[in-house]
Amino acid sequence: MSAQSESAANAAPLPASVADPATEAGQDAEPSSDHGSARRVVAALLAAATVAVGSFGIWALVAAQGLHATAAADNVALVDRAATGAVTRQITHAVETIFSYSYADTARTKVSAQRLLTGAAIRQYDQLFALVEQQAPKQKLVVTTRVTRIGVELLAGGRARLLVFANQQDTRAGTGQTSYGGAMFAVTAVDQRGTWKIENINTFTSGT
Amino acid sequence: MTPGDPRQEVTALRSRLGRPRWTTDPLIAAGAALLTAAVVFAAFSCAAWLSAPRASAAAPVRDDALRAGEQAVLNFNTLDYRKVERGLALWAQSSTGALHRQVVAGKTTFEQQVRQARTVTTAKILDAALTSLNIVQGKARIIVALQITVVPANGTPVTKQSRLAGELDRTSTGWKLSALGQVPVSAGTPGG
Repeated sequence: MSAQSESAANAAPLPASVADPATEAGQDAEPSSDHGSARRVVAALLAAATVAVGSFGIWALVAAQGLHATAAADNVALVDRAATGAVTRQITHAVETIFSYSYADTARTKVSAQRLLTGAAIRQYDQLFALVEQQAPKQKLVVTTRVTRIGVELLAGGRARLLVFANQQDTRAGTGQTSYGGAMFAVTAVDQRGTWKIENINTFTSGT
Repeated sequence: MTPGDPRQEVTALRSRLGRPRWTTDPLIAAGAALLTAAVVFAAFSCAAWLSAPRASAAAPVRDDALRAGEQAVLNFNTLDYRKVERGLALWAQSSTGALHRQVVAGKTTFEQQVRQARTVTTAKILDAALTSLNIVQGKARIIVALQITVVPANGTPVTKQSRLAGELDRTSTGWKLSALGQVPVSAGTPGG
């Protein structure tokens, strides 16, 4: 049917070409203006929907960024058990290492301490340790420090603040005398590539 | 038959049926493509927002326990012989369990002692931290670095520092101390 009408149209071009465009035009004239305005409406709707959906997408991204930023500053002490455990273990080890030494080899402690300290703490410690290096050999002093209580107050954004109670045992190798002491101090630490380093020690004495 | 004819015929057919040429309309096609891209973008952004970290519900509980614990320790190290009853009432309010029973049981005796000694004790918290927190069971442990000043009858204040450790239990009226004591300087044993 269609083939026949097509060949008929081709065979009799004038009436067909007049007729066909007329038919098209005629049929398009009514739907054409409807079609044109419908087309514009649809295009406008698509544009509006794109803007709306796109705006929502941008809002969601911004909101997600905001959540990430706030979370980075959140104090997760005791809330993030794994992180709290890690900083507690590392600072316990650091404190016991830097405050334990033997008159026979004070250099060893000093070297270990450099790895565990950073910033102001290195200066503070070096000053303190200068005294140790003087006194320890004279009294043949062996000092062992053990942490007995340790609590994390702040753990956020790669920084931590801890309260440490430590017991210290001093033995004088010459006389065999042993004395015991208790210490308490606040430690500020920073996370350097997965290792917590002590940045400051506050022994609660005026001027510290 | 010329190659273009079938397409002309289809379009002619379509226009005769009055159907609009959405799929071949470049404007509509572009609009649809943009909308699709926007939807995909919004889907990813939504996923990013849903998976972003949110503030934990445990943090306020921790802060509450620490604050209450600090205040309770402060109360237990504050006593004025001229206001003993009020002071000990505060001790009772700040404690629960075994510690509370001790306070109530020893109240009368202790009142007498303090009035006789005429001491005024005040305290200042240097630092404090929780060492453990169990929200489900409502239990926590606290350590406090405390500075205590005692003004005895003869008037010369004595200040000393103290290492305290306490246990906290959550009650219907908040976190209270169920135990409190000094941390001993033990004979070199690790773990105190």
